[in-house]
Amino acid sequence: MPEIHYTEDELIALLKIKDKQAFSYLYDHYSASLNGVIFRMTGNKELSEDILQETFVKIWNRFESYDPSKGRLFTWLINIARNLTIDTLRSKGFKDQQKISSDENAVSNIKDEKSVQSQFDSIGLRRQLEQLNPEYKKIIDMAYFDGFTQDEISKKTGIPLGTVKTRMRSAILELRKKLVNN
Amino acid sequence: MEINEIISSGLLDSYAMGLCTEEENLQVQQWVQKYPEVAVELASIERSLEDYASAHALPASGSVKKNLFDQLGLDQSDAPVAKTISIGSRWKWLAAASIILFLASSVINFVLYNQYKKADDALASTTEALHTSLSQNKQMENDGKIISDPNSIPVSLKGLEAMPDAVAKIFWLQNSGDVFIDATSLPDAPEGKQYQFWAIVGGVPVNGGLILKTNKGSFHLQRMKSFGKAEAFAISLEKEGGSPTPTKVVSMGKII
Repeated sequence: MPEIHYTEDELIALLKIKDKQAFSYLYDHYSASLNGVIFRMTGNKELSEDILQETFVKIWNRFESYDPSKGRLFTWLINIARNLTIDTLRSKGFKDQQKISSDENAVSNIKDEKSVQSQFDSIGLRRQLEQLNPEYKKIIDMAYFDGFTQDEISKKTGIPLGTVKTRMRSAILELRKKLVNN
Repeated sequence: MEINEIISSGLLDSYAMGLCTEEENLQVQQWVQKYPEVAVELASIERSLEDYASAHALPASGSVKKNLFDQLGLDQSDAPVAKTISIGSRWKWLAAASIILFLASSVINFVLYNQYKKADDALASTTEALHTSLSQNKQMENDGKIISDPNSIPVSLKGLEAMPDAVAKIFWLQNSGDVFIDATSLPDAPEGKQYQFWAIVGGVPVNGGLILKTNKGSFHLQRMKSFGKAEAFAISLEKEGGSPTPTKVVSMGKII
């Protein structure tokens, strides 16, 4: 199939009219990122892929409800993925300690998989992120990958809520700086 | 709430991570609509997180996509077909507007280019005229210096019987012997003929050089050969190229 590139606006317009090719493109470009997040939450490869498939079914069926004025496409996608994962984990009676977020596990998995074409050099990017302040990284990961609210993070870590907020802000700013420089 | 307060509140970060309550979501959406700065900040946060997620990307097995398309009843193997994509009316307007803008700017460019070209041509001819006039000026300045030089002796050459209107003026610089002639009043030499200048030294005419054809009416001094001493100056009419001895003297003036 010829290589096609869509801008985010084009992609959204096409998905609104249920264009199959655009959906295929969406999958190729975002499935690995979403799968990575789901895997961070479940720690289980098969379960992650089940949830990933379910996520894309939902994306396809509900795309008309996506409102670009409320946020970027990926934010919407990852919210669907995260909510589905949380629902799945709850329904299956998963406990907090099973929300494994082992970095090494994730890294070894990435190396094993043959990568879909990605617009990012994810290894180079990862190296940048390793330099992120560990305290910042922990809070970002807890919020973004594990879906904990700032309040929950504060309770779980014993860090005052105010500090959680400041660190999250600093983490985002540092993240932005690193990713821009990458 | 001030924009800076909104940004530092951390609510945008939580919003981008999908961690806000329904109430907070509405609040953030209101801010985004109201303040462009907030919208920009939010988009930037989202982008950072997007990149963060892609740094942790974990490609799924190939079977997932196949199963997904099967489940949705979509045929993945379809060869891409050329098709008409309906573009949102907003884009149509934008496209139409951009074409109009492009055409308008082409017209403006064309008009401006022509104006520029005219201005450029005008500038070129003005520059040329200025140069001409500057060099004329320079010439006149030099001529003026010669005439007003204290050592300059003016000698009027009067037309002889054969050509009574053959008048000219000589400026002879005593100290240097330089001789200048204003030959602009001489009648045009007949076809094939040329005026030649002579100095009479010790009763003998000595060649002072050929007189170049000059523009009538515009004062102009022409440098001739120098003479340390002379009793008179004369002009003869010769065939083109001159003659070693004067054949037909038409104008003469004695040095007083």
